[in-house]
Amino acid sequence: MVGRSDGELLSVVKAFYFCPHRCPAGQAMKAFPKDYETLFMFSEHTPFSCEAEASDFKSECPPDKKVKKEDLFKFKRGRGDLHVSVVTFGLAAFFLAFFWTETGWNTRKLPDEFGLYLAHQFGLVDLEGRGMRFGRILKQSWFAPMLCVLILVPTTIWNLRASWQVHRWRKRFLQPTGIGYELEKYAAALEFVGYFIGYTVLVPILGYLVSTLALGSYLTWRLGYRTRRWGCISLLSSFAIVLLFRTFLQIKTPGNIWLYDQLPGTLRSYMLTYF
Amino acid sequence: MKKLLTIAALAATTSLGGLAPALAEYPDAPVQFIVPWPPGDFEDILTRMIAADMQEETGVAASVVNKPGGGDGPFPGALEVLAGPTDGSVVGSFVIGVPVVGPKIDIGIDEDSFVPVGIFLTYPFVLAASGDAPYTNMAELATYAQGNDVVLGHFGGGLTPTKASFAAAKKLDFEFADDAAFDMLDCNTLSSGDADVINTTLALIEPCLGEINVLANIGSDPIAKLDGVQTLSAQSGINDLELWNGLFVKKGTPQEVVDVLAQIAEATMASDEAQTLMRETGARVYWQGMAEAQARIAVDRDKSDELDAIIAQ
Amino acid sequence: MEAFLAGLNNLMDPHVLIAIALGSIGGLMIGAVPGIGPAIAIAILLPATVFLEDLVSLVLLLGVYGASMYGGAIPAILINTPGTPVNALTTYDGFALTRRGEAGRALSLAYAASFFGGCFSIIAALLALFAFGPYLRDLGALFGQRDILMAAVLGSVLLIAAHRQNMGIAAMLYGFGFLIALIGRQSTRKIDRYTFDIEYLFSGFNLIVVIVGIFALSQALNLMTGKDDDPPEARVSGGVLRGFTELLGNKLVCFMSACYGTIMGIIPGVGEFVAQFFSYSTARALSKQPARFGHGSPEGLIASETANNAVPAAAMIPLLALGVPGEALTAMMMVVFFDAGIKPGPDVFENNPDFLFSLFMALLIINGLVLLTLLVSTRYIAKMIYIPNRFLGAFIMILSFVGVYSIRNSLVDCVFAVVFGFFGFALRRLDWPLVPVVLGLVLGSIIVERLSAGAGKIKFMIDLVNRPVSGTLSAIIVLVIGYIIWSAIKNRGINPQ
Repeated sequence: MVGRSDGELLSVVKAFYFCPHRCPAGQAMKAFPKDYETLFMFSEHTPFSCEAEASDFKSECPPDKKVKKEDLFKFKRGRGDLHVSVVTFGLAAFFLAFFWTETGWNTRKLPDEFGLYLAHQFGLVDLEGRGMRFGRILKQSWFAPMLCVLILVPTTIWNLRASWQVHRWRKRFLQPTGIGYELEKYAAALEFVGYFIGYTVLVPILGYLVSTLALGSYLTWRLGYRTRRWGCISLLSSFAIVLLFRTFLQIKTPGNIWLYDQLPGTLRSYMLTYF
Repeated sequence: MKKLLTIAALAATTSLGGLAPALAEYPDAPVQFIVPWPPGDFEDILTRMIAADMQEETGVAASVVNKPGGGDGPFPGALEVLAGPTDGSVVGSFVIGVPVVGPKIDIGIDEDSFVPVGIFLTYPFVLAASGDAPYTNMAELATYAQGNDVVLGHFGGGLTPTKASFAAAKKLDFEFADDAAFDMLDCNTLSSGDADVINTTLALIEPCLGEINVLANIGSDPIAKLDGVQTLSAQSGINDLELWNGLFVKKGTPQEVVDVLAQIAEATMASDEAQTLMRETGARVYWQGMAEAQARIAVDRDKSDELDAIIAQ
Repeated sequence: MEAFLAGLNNLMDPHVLIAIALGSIGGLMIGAVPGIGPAIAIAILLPATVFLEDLVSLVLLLGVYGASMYGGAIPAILINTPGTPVNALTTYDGFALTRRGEAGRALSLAYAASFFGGCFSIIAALLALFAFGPYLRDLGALFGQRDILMAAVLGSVLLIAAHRQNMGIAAMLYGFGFLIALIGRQSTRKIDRYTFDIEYLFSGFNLIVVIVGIFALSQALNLMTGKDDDPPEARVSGGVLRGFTELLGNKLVCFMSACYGTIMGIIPGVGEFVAQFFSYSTARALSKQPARFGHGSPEGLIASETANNAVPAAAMIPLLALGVPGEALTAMMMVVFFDAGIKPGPDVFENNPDFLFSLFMALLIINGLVLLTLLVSTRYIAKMIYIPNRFLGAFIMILSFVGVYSIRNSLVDCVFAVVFGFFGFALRRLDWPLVPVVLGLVLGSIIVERLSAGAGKIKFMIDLVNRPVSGTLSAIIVLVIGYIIWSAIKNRGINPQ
């Protein structure tokens, strides 16, 4: 491609890879030249240049399916999509299954003749005595969950279907689809979830100050920052957090601390208030 | 109002920080008063006064936390106090509904779950309707409701003022077409047409008091500030149950805690600020200690049962 | 005029000025920390305000409130975690810009947009109050429960429509969020939904627990299980002024978002979430480059930041004029008004005009002070990106604990927060949107609450929509749903991959 400017090269590349090179009206795209050496090398013309007369080459890409910039950023379903979609479907099914008993549906008060009631609502029929006020139906405990289930069930099914299609596409093109990788990633996250829950359990025992210092320094060490500098940074920042939130802002932290109860009276109340 | 509350605020010295001088065994840790309603109403203002006075007198941090229950009234806040410790660090500022109605709904509150420290406020609780409603008292409302739909707005179906309204309706031989529980009932509720008649306290409808019709007040005496408005019991023949607010601690709290709290609260209620509040707003501010409060609660439980009986007919 | 001068005079008190400074800088820092939002800060500071003078306590809270949204944009842009719940949409475009190495540009744009939004609504509020003061009362009468209900439904529908490429997923996650909002028991109303007789579930899930879980803890998990990456050179030079010049280039978006924020702030009960979404969706619809939204569009950033900063001042309007708080945080500040002896209502203009001026001038000063602070310290704040990811994740986790526990003093809340965090972690891995879950929670609870409160007056189905405001809004909802369905059908058959 010697001798061509960048702009021209770019347009050649674009024209080559993307179908919709449009010719002005009345012209059609030139066919491939038979001797392909001259295809790009020194030819003035690209294979897709336009000529005045119509030729028998017709592009297969319909002209209006242009590649839009949006499509490059389209939402793509990733690797673990199917598994999570199955989980969400399971959750929706769970909520649907327990809708009948857990939302007050079993104690519902609906008018007996529903057809007649609808007619009354739309003003077609005049019921002697009072027809049930619509508000009384809306107030019942099952109404809002019903709306939710009506949203959830179709969307989860639709989502599962779309996810399954993508999964099949991925399998067909031999892209990774196994569940093992996903499980590894989730297990890694669960480890830290465990640390957090451990911290939650530790605070009522050792108090906010000690637990935070412990968690801060342990996590930093666990995440691989094992130099002394990082140790100091973690301790100092944990302490700063405790100072700011507990001592100055007096944010609530658990009250009955076992460790502080071991301390003598005034020190205990001091620690309780400020740490 | 501004001046007296400024005095109240300035009167309390800021003594954050510093070690607690251990004057008495209680309080030695920060005390939290829980008000199970959104801020701004009388019980909130008065409880804040109590907290401020407590902080000033004992040097220990005393704060007020609002825990509104949304549609569920004061009960979530009450349950929080119940879940707290018995060392007096969590004190509840509860309405009559908590000890009287709480045990009847299956929510985890028993008749003896809370020990009253004392009662200090009677709400100026009223039934109000919008200014252009064609009725100005309960009798006219009864007549109007015979042929038209009247919707009641209240703070919760099981609460005492709501029951009083329903019982009054029963006695006056009319029915509310429907009712709805709101988390806030104020001028906007009436003017936007969300309810025809509302149960509310004077504090919340203060801005539009001149333009609305107050049909009745729930209590034993008419409110001086509203002339021409009779009590609900006088107009309808139900008993004269009053709506009050008091300080409560969890069962099992030492008597010493109760005594210290009672002493501080009584002084607060006798102060100029509190008394001025009373005069200006129609609320009644006083102090009834533990024994009186317990007796009053017992009486109110019977009255509440009476109301339930009327409604159930 | 005298009132204006008197108001200004009130502000010249050293205590007040110190409170403004503390509130602003504190709010900035609080907003910048994900998991600690203005709600918590205000809830903590409220008891302290009993001991302070009226104006002092008020400006302190206002400072925290107003400044936190500036601060909240910082982590939203730099580390994809909104510092406050209302900066959620800023993450979409802000973080994308950071990934391209344009963090400084994003930050300065966010500040400039926030400043514009804040000032716009303050000035609009002042004008509105004094021009329309007496008539605002009647406007408030138009907004009953059913109208707010329709506004929330409209917000939900627009939220789903905004996720044009994955509406189904957005709708599904919205549904989950809604359902989570419903779990709970209200004995007084005989409501019991999905509690399975478990005591913890009786009070339902708290909004902040879910938000901290889904945003902060999920990001913490994401960071800790990921790799430390070498962030690109964030050339944070040029300061904030560059943002203003860029703002001038997007005047329409700017002005429109500020209008949205102001209007949404005035409508009681709606708040910053919906303001952001309306503003973002409209900006996207009107934009010449809609595909860039979510991937580093300056218009998107402007739209979300202007709108959410325009809400606080506007939310003061219904609070002052009608006694109806514009949104949750404003409601918390109502008590300070009461302590100050200000009776919100139409007569507040007659009784306390100087107080009103002080209030809004203070807000203006707060905005200005925050901007100046950021002008100087942006460079230092932006250094946060160089904190290694995993270390940051650990600290977000520690901070989240304090934020969650302080809500209800419940350790079980903390456990549930991390459960939501795990769920959010899964969503992040799949590139599924997180915001619909939170908005499902917020809007869902508004919808349910308004429905049950407004149900009293609903006799026929038509009563839901036969009021002027709810009727108009429902018509718009129908149109938007129609558009969604139409575009879904039109795009059917396009291969997902």
